Amino acid sequence: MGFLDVILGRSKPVKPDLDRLFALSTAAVTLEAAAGFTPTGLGSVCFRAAEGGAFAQLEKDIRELLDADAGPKVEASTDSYGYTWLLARHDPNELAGLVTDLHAVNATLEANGFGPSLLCSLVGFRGPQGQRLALVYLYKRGTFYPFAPQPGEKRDNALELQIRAAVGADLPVEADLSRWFPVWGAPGL
Amino acid sequence: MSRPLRLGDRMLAARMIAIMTLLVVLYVTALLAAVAFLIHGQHWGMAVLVAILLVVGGVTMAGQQGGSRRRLLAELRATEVGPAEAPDLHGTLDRLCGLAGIAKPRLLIADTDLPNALAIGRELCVTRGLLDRLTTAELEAVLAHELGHLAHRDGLVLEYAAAPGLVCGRYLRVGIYVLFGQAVYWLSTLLVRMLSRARELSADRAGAMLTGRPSDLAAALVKLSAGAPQIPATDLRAVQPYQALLCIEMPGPKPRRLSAHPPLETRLRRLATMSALLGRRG
Repeated sequence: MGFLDVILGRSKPVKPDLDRLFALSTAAVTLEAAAGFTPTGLGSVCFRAAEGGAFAQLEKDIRELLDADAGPKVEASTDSYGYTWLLARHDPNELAGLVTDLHAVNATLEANGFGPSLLCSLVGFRGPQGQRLALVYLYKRGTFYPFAPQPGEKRDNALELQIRAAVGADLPVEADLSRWFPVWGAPGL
Repeated sequence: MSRPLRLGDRMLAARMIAIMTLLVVLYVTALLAAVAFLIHGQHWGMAVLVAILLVVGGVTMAGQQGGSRRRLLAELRATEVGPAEAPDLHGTLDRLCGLAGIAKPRLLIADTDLPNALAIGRELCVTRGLLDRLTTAELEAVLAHELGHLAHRDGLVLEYAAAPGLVCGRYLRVGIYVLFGQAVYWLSTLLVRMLSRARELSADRAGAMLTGRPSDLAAALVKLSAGAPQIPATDLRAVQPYQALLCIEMPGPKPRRLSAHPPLETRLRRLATMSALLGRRG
């Protein structure tokens, strides 16, 4: 928000850099070498569905687009906050394909003027002891952060910080820790 | 590439520029008039004093108002709640801040049955009455509206817009200057309230765009306006200077020109326009 925006009381949309999503492939290699975490093949995109027919039609189009290729269909679900999650499944060895799907959802919403509705995208990983981990991409910031849930709505902060150190060179990690908000029960975790 | 919603509103921006220009003209004229009057009467020392008083006083008063926020929150008996105490509310706020790409404000809950929400500085305060009455979607819409106020720094802008007028009204109380001071004060009050109403519409727009659901905000406004208890707002009287940052106007008889909020119908009409735009295909 610049000075003029404050004076005029208007919000400016953030200019996102979606290509950063592709850095996930490199980060996954580093993550496996450094911490033994491997991709689960699950990934999801989270957005706030706008009211009205235009968005509903767009959502339908996106799902058809993703279902056009062979393999499992995308699953849509709505969480308790009213946000929609589109879950994509791929072979765990094919992270690039998964990231391409996530990118397609983000890019389609953005191209149709619904960029403001996008919250985040995430890719799931499993640790050597079965720990759950997600790398979450914040659309509005263009940054990533690790989220490691434990049973009982607790977070493994030590693991998250360890992961940040591991992938810091490959991904733009969100520097403001207060923006690492929890996504409990997100599809694809 | 289609854009279902324009993020700015040119008419609204033009209105704000016009109001703010009038305010600046009013203040500069007042300052020059006071100084010219004193120089004409050969009160040189007094002229310099008045000039300094108006300029320095205006700035410090705006600063003082900022300092009184904390007292206000204390009077509202607002206490900060952590994610453990209000997980759903924090979850909603986390997501909205993520959508908006802004830093998360501190979250406070005021222990009063009057339904309202208030955003000042880096704090967002909601009342128990609000939490009890609204659905999750409506509550989200109200929080998004308040985040609009925070993002636009409406508290700061309105404080600085009002400060010189307040200085005139409060300190120009000697002899003939009283009339002059009061005139400037009342004119500036009218203009500041106009500005406040424009920024309220701006926050409505920002909030509705953030969630993409203007109808939820409309539903919340209708519910809050209809359900606002008509009992005297004793515990929220402290909020009077901060009316503009509330979600809805506190009850009380008030001429329309002095209201910090636009009439409900105006807000609903604008939200309906946004909703219609969202429904249009392609």
